[in-house]
Amino acid sequence: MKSIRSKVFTAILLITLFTSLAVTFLFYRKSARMIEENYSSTLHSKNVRTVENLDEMLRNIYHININASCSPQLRTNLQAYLSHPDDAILEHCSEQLKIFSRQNTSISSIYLLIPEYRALAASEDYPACKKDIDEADIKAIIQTADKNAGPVLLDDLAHEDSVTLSFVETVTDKNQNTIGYILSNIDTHSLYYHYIAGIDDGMVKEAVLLNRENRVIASLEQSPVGNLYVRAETYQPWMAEKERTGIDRENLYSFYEAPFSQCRLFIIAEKSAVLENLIETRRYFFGVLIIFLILSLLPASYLTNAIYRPLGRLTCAMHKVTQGDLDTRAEIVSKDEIGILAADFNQMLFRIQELIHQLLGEEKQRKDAELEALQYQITPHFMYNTLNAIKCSAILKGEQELGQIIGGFIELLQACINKKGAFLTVAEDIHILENYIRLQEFRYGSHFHVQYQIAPETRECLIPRLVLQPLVENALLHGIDIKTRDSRLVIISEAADDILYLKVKDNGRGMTQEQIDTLLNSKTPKTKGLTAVGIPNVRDRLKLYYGDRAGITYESGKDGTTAVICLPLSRSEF
Amino acid sequence: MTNREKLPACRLLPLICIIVLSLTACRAKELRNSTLKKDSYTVGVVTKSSTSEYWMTVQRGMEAAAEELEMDLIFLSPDSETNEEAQVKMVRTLLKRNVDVIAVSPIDSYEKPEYYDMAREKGIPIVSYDTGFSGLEVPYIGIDNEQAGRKLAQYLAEEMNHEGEVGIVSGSLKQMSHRQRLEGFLAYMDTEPKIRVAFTESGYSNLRMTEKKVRKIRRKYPLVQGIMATSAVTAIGITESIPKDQVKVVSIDIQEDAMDAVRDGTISALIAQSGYEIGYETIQYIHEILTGTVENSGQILDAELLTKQNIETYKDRSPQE
Repeated sequence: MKSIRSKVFTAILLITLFTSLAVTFLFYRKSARMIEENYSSTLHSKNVRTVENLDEMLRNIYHININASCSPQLRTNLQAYLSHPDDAILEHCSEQLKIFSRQNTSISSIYLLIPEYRALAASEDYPACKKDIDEADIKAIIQTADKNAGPVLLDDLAHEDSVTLSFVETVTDKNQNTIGYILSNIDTHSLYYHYIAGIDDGMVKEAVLLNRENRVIASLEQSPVGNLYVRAETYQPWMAEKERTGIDRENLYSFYEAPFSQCRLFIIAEKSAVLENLIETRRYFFGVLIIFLILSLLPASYLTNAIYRPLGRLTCAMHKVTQGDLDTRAEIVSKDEIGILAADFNQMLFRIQELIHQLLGEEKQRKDAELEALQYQITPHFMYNTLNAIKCSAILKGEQELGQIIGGFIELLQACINKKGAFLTVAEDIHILENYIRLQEFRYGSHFHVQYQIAPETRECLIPRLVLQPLVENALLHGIDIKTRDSRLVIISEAADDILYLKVKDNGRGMTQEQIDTLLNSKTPKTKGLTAVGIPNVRDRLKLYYGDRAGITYESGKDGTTAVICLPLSRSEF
Repeated sequence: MTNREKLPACRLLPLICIIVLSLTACRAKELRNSTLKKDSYTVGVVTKSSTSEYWMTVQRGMEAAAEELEMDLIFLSPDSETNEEAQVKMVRTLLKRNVDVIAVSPIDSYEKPEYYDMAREKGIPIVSYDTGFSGLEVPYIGIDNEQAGRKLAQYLAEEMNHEGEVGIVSGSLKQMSHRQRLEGFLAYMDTEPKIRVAFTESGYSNLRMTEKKVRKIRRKYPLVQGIMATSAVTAIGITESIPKDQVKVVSIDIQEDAMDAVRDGTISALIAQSGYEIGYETIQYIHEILTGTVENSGQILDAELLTKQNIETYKDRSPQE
């Protein structure tokens, strides 16, 4: 269960197996039940038919027996015999009984029993009559006849060891005194052959015809006639009421009691015999199932392979990447989700490589810059101290002006190099600017008219450090003509509507629009001025700090140029 | 790691449950046992004979009711209406058989049968139908036979303009039904001073009178204009021997040949004693006895007088007729 492939494979196998097993099983159950029920109903209707035929036959014989017992001729003969016991009369009776006996083929014999003389006349040819019948037998017959209405099981009086199903009726004289008995006998063997033997269709395990006392009249197993049915108690639940069918784990049962004679036919059929064909079919089905299961392994294997192949390749590619081979690319074989995954993975790899390249380049640049910085590093303290010493020496030598210039230069240097604080107040920045202008005056040996128009409320406003210096430097370089005597600069700081305006005005020769654009957009670092930053730097810084809320503009005409910085008014740092 | 191993088992659990459930569901109904017919009341029925159509319709009516009420019937019939001994033996058989109720149409209504006391001893109720017992407390289900006789007499008298001679061919006078019909007929004729009852022949219940005998009677009583036969079978026998315009024959019992005879006029009037209805009502009544809801001792059924005019509108309860 490690790879997706085996999981999918197992899933396919399980689903197939479960479905086919369930279908087979349910089909089997359904068929089995249907067959059982069909057979059960067939069996039962056979039972009912048999019993009803039997009952009809018995009813017919009952009527014959009644008619025989009411026959005036027989009565006359009987009365004659009673007064003169003559064998000839018995033979005469026998002839008369034959007429009744012929009325139904199921009658094996009809006896006229004369208890007084322990004699009987029979409808048979041999014996036509019998005498000296056992007293006990006669008593038994009379007792059964008195008690029972329907057919009774009797030991045959004329034949030894034979049991018959008989109807017994009294023959009475005119005063209603019983003078004899008529017995219509049905041979139990013939009952077996006519009614029971035909039930056996190979599936019937047991078929037993019982009388109402559960004594066996005839049975498929040839159990002794006249005895109590031995398994009556075992099958008690199936033999209740008048008509019953049932199915249990092993057998199918059918029970029916005849309405007139109350004879009961109980049939048990073996389930396994009934379902034999189906069980064979089931075996066949399982065989087919296994074969198809094995056959289905091939497409299943192909299918899982088809699913797994792109995934396997992707997995393999990922593994290689994990191992560090970033140049690996996953092969895109399919257009499904895995294909998309592979494409995305490749894209991701490409992006990672790109980023790595960029990172490497940047790292290199950074290293170069660091190296450069190290090369040019000079201790600022050494510089200040040296300059301070020069300043002091100049003052001591009376060069007051020189000392002041050097002091301003020191301050300017400090302001430029000092890295603390990105913001200064307008006043501080103006102070730096003053130093710078003084140095420039000294440098060019000329004098400009610099006018400061600082609105008092703007003095404490914060502005990015050194934003004014590049403007002034630019004005000195490009704007005013230093050689002319009335060069003039006006530095303005004013506020309106929460916006601080810083302006540097000159009265120089002005700039063309082209020059302004170059000035604002040139990227090359200056080499000449105080700092290496130019107007673009100022613009960029403003943009960084304030976004669109700040900006720098140039206005230029014949009478000079004005650079304007506008930025939000603020008195505290961000 | 253990979490991973447990997970598939947890997922498989519902699947296993489904499989197990589906298997057990198939096993659940393993035992099936159905009683198709329970022990129910058994009624022993003894008729007078089994041969005539009338008795067959009685049996059908009883069977129809028994099926509706889920009762069992045992029919026993003597071979003819004269075999009283056989009828008695049959009732005795049924008593020995311990049926719940016995319905009998006695061949002899006037002699107390020996089984009457036996049945009382055993507590098995006896019900009479078609023909009652005289002087015994046995419920009777059937038509009012005396009334039937009167109706026929009245019809004949009217047809004959209240004068002339009539004759009677009756069934066994041991049977109350026939005797009552006869008595009713005679009683009515007493009120008709100009009508004379010329002859009364008896002993022909459900039996045909021979042609010879009919001719003999005709010769002896040539003036007879009307004959009442107490059973339809006898009436049909008579009509076959006598031209229909000469003598008006009236009778009792619904059966197909008698109805046809009424339609074509060979029988002038017929009291509609429906065997089917009697049979049906008898079983209904017995059911009332067994369920303890009986209110009266017996039930007198309506009997319409059918003539050529109204026979087409007559509908028997029997589905076939």
